[in-house]
Amino acid sequence: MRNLILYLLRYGSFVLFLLLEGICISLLVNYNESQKEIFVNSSGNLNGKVNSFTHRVGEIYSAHREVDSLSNVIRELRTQNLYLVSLIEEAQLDTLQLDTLHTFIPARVIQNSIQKSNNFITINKGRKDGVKSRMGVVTNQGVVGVVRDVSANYATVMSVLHRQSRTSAKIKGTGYFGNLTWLGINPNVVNLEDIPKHVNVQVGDTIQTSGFSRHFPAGIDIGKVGEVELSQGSNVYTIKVSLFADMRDLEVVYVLEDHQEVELDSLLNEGADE
Amino acid sequence: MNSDTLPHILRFIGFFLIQVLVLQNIEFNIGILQYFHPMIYPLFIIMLPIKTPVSLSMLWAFLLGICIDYFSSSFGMHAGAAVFLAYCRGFILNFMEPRGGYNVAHSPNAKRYSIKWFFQFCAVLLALHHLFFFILQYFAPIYALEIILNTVGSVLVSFILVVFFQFIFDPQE
Repeated sequence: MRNLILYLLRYGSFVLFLLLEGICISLLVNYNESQKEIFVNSSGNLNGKVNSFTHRVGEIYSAHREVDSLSNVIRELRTQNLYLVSLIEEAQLDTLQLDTLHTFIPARVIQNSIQKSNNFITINKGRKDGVKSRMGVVTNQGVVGVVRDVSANYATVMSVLHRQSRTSAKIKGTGYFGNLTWLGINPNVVNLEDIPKHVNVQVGDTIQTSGFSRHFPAGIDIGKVGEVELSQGSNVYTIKVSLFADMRDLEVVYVLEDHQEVELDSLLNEGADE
Repeated sequence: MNSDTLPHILRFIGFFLIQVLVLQNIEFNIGILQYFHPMIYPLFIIMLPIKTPVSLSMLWAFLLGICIDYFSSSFGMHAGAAVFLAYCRGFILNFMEPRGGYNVAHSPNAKRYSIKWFFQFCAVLLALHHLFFFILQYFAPIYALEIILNTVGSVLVSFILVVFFQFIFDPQE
């Protein structure tokens, strides 16, 4: 405090000078049109420069974050790759044929809906690309739906968010399976029915395709258990499954082409004929 | 009121009236040369007693400047320039101190020191004042040429007025 007073005594005239000039310039800028315009314009210029600078800083920052997330993805993919390589080696040791039962046909979603009670997706691959009715459609994250109608260049996909959609699913690590249905409310949540109540289901368990429906091979992730309900007097759980695939934000999907469909069909038909 | 302060108050009122009623209303244009805007009121600040603290002379300068601004609808220009002049006066007084030093109770004037010293002193301060005034008036660096031309032209005319004042009134204080 004493220093402040000494400072003011020594430099008081300078402080007063700055104060008075500040008053004068604020009067000048506020009450004189041309000076006001110059002041506003030049401060506007300065603002613009500062803004574009901060924008660029923000871009750099977000680029760093993107690099981080991408390197995480790369790490994940590498782990998966190692795992897959080990699987291939195992398969070769067993002298078994690799799983070449399915081919993935990449396609771009050109139309999508989630609000209706029966939702369809349109993709830009059709008969020409080998897409056929009843083929399964997945994304990197999980199951999307099943192809219904096919034209030369396009196909419609019955989304899992369709009230008639039935996908056979099981709890990962067990053999218990049930049907996935959708009640038409929340586009992130589907129901898994028919899991008997003696099965130990935990929230967070992964739900996979069972392989029993012919649209999807076994072991494709669908979602994770969000809620487990057991209604009174019932023998089966009603399990709410939150989907891994974000149905609101679909861009690239893969259509699963089954190479042994014909063989399996004829086998089943034989059985039916007898 | 003692006799020491009376001349200053008279100068305050007199310069204010001359500036507002006469100088602001006369156009000193010579053909395309429109750079003459004489100002007499800085002489009030120049001639304040040497012992006046810089802060006090700045307050006086601000008051006089605001009064002139009010009647010439140029808020802040004359006041800003006058405050700047008052602040600079302290440094210029130190810088131009004559060999015998100052008699701090009195005003700087031609009688007490030398005519040469006083007119140099006035010229430097008028130049600073006018430069700052025109900087405030044009307010943008692209008008640098106008600022300099106006300063030079106006300092010439103002200086002539100051000389006239010295010889006609011959102020002792």
